Amino acid sequence: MSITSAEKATQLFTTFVLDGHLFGVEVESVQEVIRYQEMTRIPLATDAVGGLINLRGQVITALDLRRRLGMPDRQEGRDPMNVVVRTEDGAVSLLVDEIGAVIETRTAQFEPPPDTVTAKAKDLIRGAYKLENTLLLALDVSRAVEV
Amino acid sequence: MPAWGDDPELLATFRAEVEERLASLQSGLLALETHQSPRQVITVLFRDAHTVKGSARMLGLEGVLHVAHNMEDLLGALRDGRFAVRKDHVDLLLAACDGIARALPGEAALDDAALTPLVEALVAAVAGADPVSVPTFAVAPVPDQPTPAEAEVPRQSSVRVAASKVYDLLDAVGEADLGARRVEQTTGTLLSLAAEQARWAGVLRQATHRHAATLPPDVALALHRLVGAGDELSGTVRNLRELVEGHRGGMALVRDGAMGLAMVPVRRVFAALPRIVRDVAQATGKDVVLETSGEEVELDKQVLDGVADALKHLVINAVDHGCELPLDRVAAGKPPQAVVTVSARSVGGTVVIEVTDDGAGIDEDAVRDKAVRLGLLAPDTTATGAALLRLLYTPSFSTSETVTETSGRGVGLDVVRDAVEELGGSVEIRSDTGAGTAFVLTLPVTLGVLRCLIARVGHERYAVPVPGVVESLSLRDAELHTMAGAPFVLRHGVSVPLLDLSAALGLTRGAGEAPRAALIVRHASGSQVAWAVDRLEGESELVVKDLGAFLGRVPYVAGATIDGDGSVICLLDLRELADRAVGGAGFLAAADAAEPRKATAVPGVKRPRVLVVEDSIGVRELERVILEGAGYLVETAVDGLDGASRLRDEPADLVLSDVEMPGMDGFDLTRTIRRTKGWENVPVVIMTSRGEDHARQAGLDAGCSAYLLKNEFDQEQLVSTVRRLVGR
Repeated sequence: MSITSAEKATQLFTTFVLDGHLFGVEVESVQEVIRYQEMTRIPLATDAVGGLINLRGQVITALDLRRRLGMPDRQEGRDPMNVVVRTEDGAVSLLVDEIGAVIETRTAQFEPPPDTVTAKAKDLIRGAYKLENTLLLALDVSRAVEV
Repeated sequence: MPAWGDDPELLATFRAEVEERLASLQSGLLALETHQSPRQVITVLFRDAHTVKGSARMLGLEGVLHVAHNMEDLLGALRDGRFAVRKDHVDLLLAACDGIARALPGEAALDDAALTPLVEALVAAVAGADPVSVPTFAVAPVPDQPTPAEAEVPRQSSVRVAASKVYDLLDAVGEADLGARRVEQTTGTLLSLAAEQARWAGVLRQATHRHAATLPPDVALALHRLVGAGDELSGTVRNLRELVEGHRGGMALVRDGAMGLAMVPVRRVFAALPRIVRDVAQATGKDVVLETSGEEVELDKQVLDGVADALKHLVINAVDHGCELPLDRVAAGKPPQAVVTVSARSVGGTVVIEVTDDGAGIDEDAVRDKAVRLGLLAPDTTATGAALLRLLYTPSFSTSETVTETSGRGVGLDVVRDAVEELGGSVEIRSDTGAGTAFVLTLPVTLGVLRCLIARVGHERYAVPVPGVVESLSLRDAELHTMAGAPFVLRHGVSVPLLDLSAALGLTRGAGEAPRAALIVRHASGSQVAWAVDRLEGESELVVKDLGAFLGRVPYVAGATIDGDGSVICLLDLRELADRAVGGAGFLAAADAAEPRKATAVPGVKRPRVLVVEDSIGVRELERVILEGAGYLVETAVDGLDGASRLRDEPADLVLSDVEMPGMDGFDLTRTIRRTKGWENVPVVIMTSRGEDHARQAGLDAGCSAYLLKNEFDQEQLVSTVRRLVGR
């Protein structure tokens, strides 16, 4: 069976929801996805840092992606999920509202970031993939974790 | 003759060190041509070359010693900007690295004569040759392979393992230890659940007993089995608890054993010192004997390795700079032979290593002159004591007038301090004119485990490393007083400002809760502050976790650890936090002072600038808050010296100064201001606790404009005095 070059240019994304928007990070950079963990607040740290979590004996920093992206805070009583990603500085957890499916995208679907997202968010996403009935915003992990 | 031929282990150690430094030099040199700030790179290269030189001396490799010395010269010239870095310089320095690598003891090692062209080329380069000729050497053998020297080490009844394996093991043991504590807790929970289950099964059996005849047989059987299984469950869980408890002791043995693997006696470094002392003494015409004690004291290998170079620098300095020539000693009424003492002792969770000499002590006049020449101090400086000695840590500061092969180029004290602080330790210099100098290094025993106090603040718990805490106290027993609304705690006759940790960390305290304890720490300027916490929950040994790069941006959170219940606890650096407690926000109950009455800034009018010079952080911040509240721009300085240098940066409309401060005191500062062109008319307000008539007179003689007393301290009076003198 022959594979055309267009079909080869695909990328798998782990997706998640933040304030009603569908976001994704490349599956290769995702270490694991875990449910809500108790967090320890870091005093005086910037508010985009949610706290520290104990990931099987490793202490890792959890980033509040809503705050990082300039979105309103999560409703009281709704616990975030952790998407643990690998970065140059070690593992970091991204706090998200809900986890979505793993989605395969094609380069052909790619377009620049839409105007519907906040200015802060626009800086931190690489672009969008036009899916059938929604847009998948590709998060730039290395910039998102630069807090 | 190879100096360490009879001690293969030391030979291998030094050799490994040289190879490591050569690797560092090579990668640094390669980065040099393209680096944004070559100066930084050169500073590191210079230290590397210096270390190679030191090790070459250890190994008795004269040729390598000369090459390294001349590399240092060339790097020094490049560092000082005598000429721009050219490609041929880099090539030559790389060739020098290759030459050194090839000259290390081993098969087919180059002899000293073979290195002569290198030395000549380096000398020519320093003299300004352009271009310089670059002798070539074959690339050094791959350092990963066991070197012949290592292979010769006789195998005794010991196992050599890579240090990384030991540290991996320590990490694993730390994790296992935490895991074991969690198992223990879970077992406790299981035990009470099993008891609960057995109790209800018993109740059920009692209740159905009366109706035994009418029960369907399968229900009766299920009930019987349920009760039996319940009993068995309780028994098994009790066994489990015994097993877990028995395991606890075993775990402790494993933990202690694993930690012991990483511990090495300081002898490993002390052993090299006699040779250093002998060689340096010989080269400088001195007669010095080395005395060592506490060689058996053990330290984590990482800590000892981290401090080994620093220790060697200090010993070289002690002989080269500290000890006098025999004739001078006799003239000073001392025995001709000088004594350098290196001692180690365990103190709590730390190891203290002291390097002392019985020489002339540090010549403060020479330090002051040199500092003035380097532009570090004003020409009319009167700095003395600790404030002056601090300058010795400045890179490229050395009081030795001649460059020698042993030391005296300013590589040294800055390296020493950096190395020690990197390990979480501290260095102190004590000098006694005529009687000698002492360098005191306080080091943690190990890097992985830290003894910490656990403090509760609001709903949060924080760990505070014990080595940084001067003392902890109960606020109920402590003597408290206030000055202008700000609380102070009286300890051993000293007023220590009491800061609220909860406020400093931006936490809110519940209604009716009050702090019950405090931790006293000493911060950068040497003065103490007391941090009020809700309560102390004891001390424990914690495995410190690396937090990656994220927390690097919150400098007062030094790390984190995981508690027995699995929760994460932040490690606070209270010293750092004290330095950062700004604007009085951290003052406990200092409502008046902490709420600056914001003066409405008049557009177009520049706010008058006040310089506050005060060594106590508490008083300093208090004065700052009050003056800022009154509408002034406030700059602060920690002592007279610092104050004078702030004035040079930017003139002030008024100076408010304490009297007693380390280094330059308030009267000296006042005199300096009165004598300095352009500053003569700046009003100086002295704020002191010295109310005696003669002190007041001394202040007025020095030229102060107003003399206020701290014990009569009054916010209104301070502000009105400043207003009167500034004129607005």
